[in-house]
Amino acid sequence: MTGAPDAPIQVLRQMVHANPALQQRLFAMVDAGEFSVAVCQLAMQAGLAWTEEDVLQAMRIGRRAWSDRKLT
Amino acid sequence: MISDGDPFAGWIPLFLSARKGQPAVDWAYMGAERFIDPFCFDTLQRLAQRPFNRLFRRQTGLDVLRQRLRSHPGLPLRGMVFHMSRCGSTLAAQWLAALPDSVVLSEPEPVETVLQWSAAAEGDADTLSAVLSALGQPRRDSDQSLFLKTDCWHMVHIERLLAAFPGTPWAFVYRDPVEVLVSHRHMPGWQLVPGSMGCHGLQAPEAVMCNPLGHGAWILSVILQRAVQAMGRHPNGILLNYYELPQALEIRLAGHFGIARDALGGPELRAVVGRHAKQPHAAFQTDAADKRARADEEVLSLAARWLAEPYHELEKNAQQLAWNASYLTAP
Repeated sequence: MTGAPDAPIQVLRQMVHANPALQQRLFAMVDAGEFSVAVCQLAMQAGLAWTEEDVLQAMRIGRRAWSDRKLT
Repeated sequence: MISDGDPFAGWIPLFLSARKGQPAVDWAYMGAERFIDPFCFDTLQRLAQRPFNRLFRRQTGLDVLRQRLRSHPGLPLRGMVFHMSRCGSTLAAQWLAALPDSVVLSEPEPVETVLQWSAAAEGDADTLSAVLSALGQPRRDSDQSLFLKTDCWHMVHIERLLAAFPGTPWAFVYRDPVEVLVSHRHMPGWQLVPGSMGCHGLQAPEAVMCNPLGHGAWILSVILQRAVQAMGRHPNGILLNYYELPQALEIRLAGHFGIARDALGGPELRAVVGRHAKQPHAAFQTDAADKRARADEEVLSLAARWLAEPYHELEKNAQQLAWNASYLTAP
């Protein structure tokens, strides 16, 4: 959930958090591969340089935050 | 049920944390999905693993959660189910979840986290209400009522929960302690881990700190004692023994929680009482005789040492309530 305010991930999050229809569409994707392709297309449309590997890496960080949530 | 113009529509508090003393809420998108698993954890775990929530989860302070309590209060809490574990409480929760107009939160982790926090600080009644409110949003057009099934050790927090939700009817589900201990012997619960309940102010005596089953028995004894005390202090409680299930759900719990008669009797409710609550592919059947047959000397000894007295106190209490009810309804 961290990162510089203008980092691609932060810009993407702002876009998604402000768009309920986009949230529903992306949430419906249960396959990580399909999801990362869709996010890369979104980034490209927004003029952001983001690869599938960037998406997967950010998802790994997100998964670790959940599994480490009880660690202080 | 996702309303336009609300930036958190469809989002729920996935977990709460307080790293470096700074409370935070991690929100996950849930959309129109429902809490229908036997435990909230299963639903939350599944949500956390969805690609969307691994990438687009959002984090806020507690202030956002509290503000939403005012702006989006969610469903009214119609009942709380406390229990001693391994006693049919999950069946009760699944039965409530099968009602056509209910949302049931079964042992939600965010509530566990808030109850670990100080009641005089971040874990106050406002935060408790806000967490329940955010988790307890209507998920179908028909949803009208919210029910909470707590973790078993939350019986020690009943005063905090009733302070946050004054007047809410509650039930305590319990069972012959020998049968409960046999279940824990077979599949140990978290409360058997020595020291695991310190975060809830429960420090077991040294004598049981090297004996997981003994530690569990001591924790259960405190839970039973608190149930006895609560029955004396809070008139909105009822006692449900495992041997009364599943019939008592419709006969006693429904009326106590104000569930309309016309909501009962549907095929979903009948299906719930016919299957095992935690293993939905298996049929529900009482296993009291089997459990008692498997009780060894240690189980019998621990039950006698820690649990027999408060259990019999509860049974006396239940018999008195039943007598009062029959006296009041006699022609």
